[in-house]
Amino acid sequence: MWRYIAKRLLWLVLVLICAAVLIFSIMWFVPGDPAEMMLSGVGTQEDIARLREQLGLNDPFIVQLGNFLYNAFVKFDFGSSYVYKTAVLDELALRLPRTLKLGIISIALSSLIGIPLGVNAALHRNGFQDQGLLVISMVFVSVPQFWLALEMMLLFAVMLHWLPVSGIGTWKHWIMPVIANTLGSIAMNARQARSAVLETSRADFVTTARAKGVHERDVVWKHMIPNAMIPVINALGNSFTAIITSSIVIETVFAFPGVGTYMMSAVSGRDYPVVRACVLMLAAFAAIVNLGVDLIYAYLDPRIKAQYVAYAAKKK
Amino acid sequence: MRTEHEVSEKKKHHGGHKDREHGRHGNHKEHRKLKRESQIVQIWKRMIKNRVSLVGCIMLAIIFLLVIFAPLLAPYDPNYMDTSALNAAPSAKHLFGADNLGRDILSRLLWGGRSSLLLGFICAIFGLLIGLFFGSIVGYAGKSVDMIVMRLCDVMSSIPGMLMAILISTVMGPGFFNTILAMTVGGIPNSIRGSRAMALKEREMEYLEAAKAMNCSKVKIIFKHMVPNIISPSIVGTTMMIGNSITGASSLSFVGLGIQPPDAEWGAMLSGAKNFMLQHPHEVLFPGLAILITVLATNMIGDGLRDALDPKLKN
Amino acid sequence: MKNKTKKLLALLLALITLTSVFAGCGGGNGMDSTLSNDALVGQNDENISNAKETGYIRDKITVAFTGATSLSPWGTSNNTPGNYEVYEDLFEQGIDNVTYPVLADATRGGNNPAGIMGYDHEEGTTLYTVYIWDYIYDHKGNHVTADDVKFSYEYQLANAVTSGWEVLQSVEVVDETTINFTFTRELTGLGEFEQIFTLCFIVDEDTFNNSKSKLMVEMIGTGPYKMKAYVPGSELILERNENYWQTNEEYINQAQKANVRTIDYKFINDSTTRILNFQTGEIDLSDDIESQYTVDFLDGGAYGDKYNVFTYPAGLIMNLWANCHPDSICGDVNMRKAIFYAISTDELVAALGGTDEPAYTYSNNTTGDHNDAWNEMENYNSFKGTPEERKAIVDEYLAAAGYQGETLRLLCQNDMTDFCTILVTMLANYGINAELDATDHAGSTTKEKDPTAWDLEYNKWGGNSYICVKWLHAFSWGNTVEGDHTTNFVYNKEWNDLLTLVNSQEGHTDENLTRWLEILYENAYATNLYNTTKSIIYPEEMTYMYRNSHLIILPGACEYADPNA
Repeated sequence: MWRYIAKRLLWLVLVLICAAVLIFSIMWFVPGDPAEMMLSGVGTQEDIARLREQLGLNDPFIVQLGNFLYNAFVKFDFGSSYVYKTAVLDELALRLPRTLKLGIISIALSSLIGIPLGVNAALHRNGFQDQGLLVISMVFVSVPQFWLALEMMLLFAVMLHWLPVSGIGTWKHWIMPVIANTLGSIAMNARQARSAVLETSRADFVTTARAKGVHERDVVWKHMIPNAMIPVINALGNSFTAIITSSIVIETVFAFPGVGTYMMSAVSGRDYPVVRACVLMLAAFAAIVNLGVDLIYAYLDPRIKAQYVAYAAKKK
Repeated sequence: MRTEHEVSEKKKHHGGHKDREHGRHGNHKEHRKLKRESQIVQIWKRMIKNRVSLVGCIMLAIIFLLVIFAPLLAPYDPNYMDTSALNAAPSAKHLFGADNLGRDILSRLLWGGRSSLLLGFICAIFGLLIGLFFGSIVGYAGKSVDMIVMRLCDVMSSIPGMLMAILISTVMGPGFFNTILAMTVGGIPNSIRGSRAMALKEREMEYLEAAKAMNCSKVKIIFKHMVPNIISPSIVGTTMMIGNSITGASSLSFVGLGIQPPDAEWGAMLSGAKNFMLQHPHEVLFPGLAILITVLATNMIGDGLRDALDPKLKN
Repeated sequence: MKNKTKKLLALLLALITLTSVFAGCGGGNGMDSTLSNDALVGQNDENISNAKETGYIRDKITVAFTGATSLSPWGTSNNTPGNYEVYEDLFEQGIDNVTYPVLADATRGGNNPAGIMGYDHEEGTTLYTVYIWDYIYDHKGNHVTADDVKFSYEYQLANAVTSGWEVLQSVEVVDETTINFTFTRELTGLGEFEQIFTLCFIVDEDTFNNSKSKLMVEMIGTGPYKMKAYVPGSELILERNENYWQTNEEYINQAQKANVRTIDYKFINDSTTRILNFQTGEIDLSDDIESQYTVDFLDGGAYGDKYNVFTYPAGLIMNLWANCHPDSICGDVNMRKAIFYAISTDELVAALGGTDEPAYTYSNNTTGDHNDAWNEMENYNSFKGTPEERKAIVDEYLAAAGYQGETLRLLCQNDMTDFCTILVTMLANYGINAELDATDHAGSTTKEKDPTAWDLEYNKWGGNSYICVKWLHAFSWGNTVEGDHTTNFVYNKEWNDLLTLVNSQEGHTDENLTRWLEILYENAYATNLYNTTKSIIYPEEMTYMYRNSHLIILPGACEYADPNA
């Protein structure tokens, strides 16, 4: 088992390096000159040329790529922001916890609310819980998140004055971003949970259990639900990635100073170090979460666990 | 299902031997055509029975009609600026009001719907085709091809989809085709993964073994035999993709990439209106509702398709 | 599952927080440089133009400000929030354009042609001797002496953008309170003295060296306010400096007052969010609001009793220029004239809702060297004929240019697309096909350089300076890499020489300015589309608003009425 984990971690690092190369290459092709952006309207052409030299922007692709990879993966130095002039990691150390907090709260809420709702709906198939859930979750899955965020802001902040408009500060500032981020995933998780439970309810082992005369309550809670959770947990990993990406747009709407807004302003300001660092950070977290979910999935499902153990044994 | 049909068809042919020798391929083709036709009809029938997907189909049909007949239905030219009606609230003259340049919102919704819907469908179809193509090859071919492609997918999907779309939009600039490119690239890893998973399941099926035994070339096996059978589940994913693409494209427009005003695309309308949201909320309400209803319709249809295609849910 | 993931994440968070690497290097970031402004900017609210001390100290004021990128005090274009409240220069200038000594000793010096206390300068020489007070202490308690002045000037020269400082030759310490500034030539140019002496904040060298971030994320100056807290990307909080070094009331200028206990700068970039924050009461004061959003804050509006609005001409040139390169279809002067005649500034103002003013010349009356007679010059900018007359002229020029219906590309930035859509429609009304090419800032600066990539471009030229300086920003040959043409590919040497001439002390005459404009219109290089206004929304209790010569509001220097009185 540990060999498997070690192998996956190694792959993770490799994937991250490839992602770093990918993001570097993409930014290479973006038109626009950071030196010009920084000095636009103020510096002369010589100033701009000097700055380009200083920032190493005139070096060939391989040299710049090499420097970047070396600094990022060996020295953990992501450089300084062209616009803000401070070290990127410093800024990220402030912003990443905020974005992650938002993400984690969203995931926690969406699982804690969504999964029970879905299970409930599945257990009362065709009852009003089921029909109601289907309709409501349909709507929330389809609604464009940023539009929902705008309308919420209009309603709760401007018309009712219940909540502050933007920024961070008190716990009240977090309410709307979290809700905007979560509604879609609650619906998603509820539907996933519901269909997972329904699928499991048709499985052979459930019929067997019933045939054996096991109490219905035990059939549901000891046999069905635990097995149904496996695909749901799998989906949670994807949820996390989806939430992180959707938070980019949500942060922009609420002027929430997290990684999303940092990255968006860096993209338009051609602030390469910031974009690279943000993307790598987000990619790293997504990859780690997925690895974690895979491992838990493997741990929980004895069939898969056996597969891995056998695979490792074969390799010997 | 396959087996049932074959048995019943064969039973119908009374001249057993001869047919089996002769037109083995011929009958096969007819078999498959008949099979698929009645398959489609069966699926359709099941979808109609499901109330939710029925409503979805009707909604989408209405939206399509409205949008196709936009030139006839739109009360104004979508780019006509009525300087006396700047930011007008909904009224008899402008049913959904006017935007900050005096353009009628209803007309822009109808015309813009063409771009939005086209965008959604093209992205979804591209995603489907690319996913099927690569996923099926990868699923059927050997372990080494599988590993390489999967790792490439991992690398691509390590950069979250929206992020990828944003980056590509920045490189390519805004615009209709660039947005399609950005959204499709963002969705490639997922569609390849999906098709691959299905291909892996199909691999073990007997009819493929049979084809292999008959010395069918690998290419033929993959594309002529396997792909048609994994298309159906893929279509479910594709309908979901339509909704995602429309929402994703409008998110891109909202943050300043993607399709920009003055194009009448729904996301671009939202992007332009957000500055006036306070005093004129109707400018944000209607395009958002349009997106919501369209995506809802496609999701309903997708759900219905999935239920209809799942044999275990027959009753 | 959640636990394991959370643990993993917590571990990584800790790891990342541990890997903090500081790599700050100084440098402000660029914006338009500002020079002294002769003209009295229009004030349409009498209350706020007369300083009447109320003696009331307000508790707190929250100000909306554009997000700061760092708290660095350096650079002649420094736009750090609260910079003028926390830091001080040797001299400063109020909105009335009177230069007065701040850190410079107002009891000494005075032997100079301008008659300003605090420095000596003999006419005809290149030496300026500045005297400073001997009891200046900064927020850390360090004594600010001549060495610190030398340090600040040399540091800023070496590490930040300092436009106009090429003439500074050396800064020498004579004694603890005397500094000699030597220049390559005498500072006779417009506003040159102010460019050197009012645009360098003085920082104590020891304080600077002891600051871990080298003053990038903290502010330690000598001013009437000191930094209390800074949340990057979110807000900056300043509090009253109870130990302000200048205790002699006679020499405390209005700008050095501290009439509020706490100033909270909230970083909000766009107008709509600021309006939202006003409505929820989260902010009290903001500049840079587009006038169209202020309707509810005027007297009689929903919020009219809590706030007031002060609208002033933004002084921007809304510039539409044509690509004069032969590779572009606009390389033909007839084509350019056709295009510019097709756009009516009056019609444009109407299409924008009527809150703006038309522009009839390539200048506006917010600058001291503006001449109203320019509005009467006969050209496309000032043309006031009927649409039929206009059409006749446009058709004539189109025929002369041999226009076959080709599509022109109008380049602009993303936030200007609505406006440019109106332009495109106006051109279409006269038979000229144009299409919009909107990019972000970086994209447009890159595209501009390629003469085959665009035909028309819309942008704005601002800053509060003389109009000749605004022209210089727009048309300087220094803006291009080759240096022998303007950004819109005008290779006219006579015109460029004239531009340099009007920006010198002797050449800055009405005659030369008029001649420059004549050449501009003869050759149809560009046009000024309309004049826009900006608004400040301020609280009802503010009885006097203080803005310095850079039009930056100093909340501490404003006067407030006691709400309970």
